[in-house]
Amino acid sequence: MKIEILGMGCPKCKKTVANAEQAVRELGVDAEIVKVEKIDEIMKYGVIMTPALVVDGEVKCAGKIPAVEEVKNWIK
Amino acid sequence: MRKTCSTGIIFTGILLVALVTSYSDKDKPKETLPSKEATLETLKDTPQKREIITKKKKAISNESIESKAEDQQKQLPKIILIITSQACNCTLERCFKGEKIVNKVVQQFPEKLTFERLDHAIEPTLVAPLERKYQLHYLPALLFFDRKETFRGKLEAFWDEGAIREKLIEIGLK
Repeated sequence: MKIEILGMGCPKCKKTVANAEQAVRELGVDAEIVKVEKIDEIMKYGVIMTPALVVDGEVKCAGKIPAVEEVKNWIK
Repeated sequence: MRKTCSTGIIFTGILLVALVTSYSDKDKPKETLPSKEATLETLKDTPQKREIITKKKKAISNESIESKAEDQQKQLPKIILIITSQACNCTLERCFKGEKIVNKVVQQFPEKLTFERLDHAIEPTLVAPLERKYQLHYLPALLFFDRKETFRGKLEAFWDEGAIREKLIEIGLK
C-alpha cells in the first residue's frame, strides 16, 4: 500500500505525516509513506489545497489534518 | 291685475333666457383634459415651456447614461479569485500572497474590470462547480473571462503579477 502525504512542509503537513505513520504502526499494515512537497507534483492530484492524504492513488482528504482513526479506516 | 301681468312677463323672460343659454351650451364641444404632450405642444414659446423641455431632455439623457453604464458593467471583463481561509500554512500563505497581488492589480483597472472573490472555506457550494468545470488543481486560483463572459484561462498557485497582467491583456484590458 502506498500512502502519499501532499504538503510543502508546514506544521500541519508534518502532523498529517505523523498521524499517517501512527495509523500504520498501530494497525501493523505494510505501507509505504511518501511525502510530496513540490507544488507542481501536488497540483497533479487536483486537491486544490493541502495537507492532503492519498491512499493508492485515491485522494482521501484535503485541506485538513486527518485524525489517526480516520487514516486507520482508509488503510485497514 | 297689472301687477300679475308684469310678473308673468318677467317670469316668461327668465324662462326664455334659461332656454337659450342651455341650448347654446349643448352646441359647444365638451372640453377634455389635455395630455401632457398636448399641453406642451399648445403652450406658447414661454419660459415655462422652455423649462419643461429642458427638464425632459435632461431626464432622457440621464436615463440613457444610466443604461449605458449598466450595459458597460455587464460587458466588463471579469476575474474570479478563489482562495481558502482554512487549510495548511502552505496553502494559506499562497492564498494570502496571491490575493494581495490580485488586489494590487485590480486597483490599477478601476471600473474596467469586474472582480469577484470566493473563499472555499466560506462558500464551498459556489466554489465546487467552478472547481469541477475549470479543473482547478490548487489555490489560489484566478479565472479570467472576457466581455462576452467567455472563459479565457486560469492561473493557479500563482505569485506572479506579470502573469496576471498578461492574462488581463488577453481578456481585453490594457
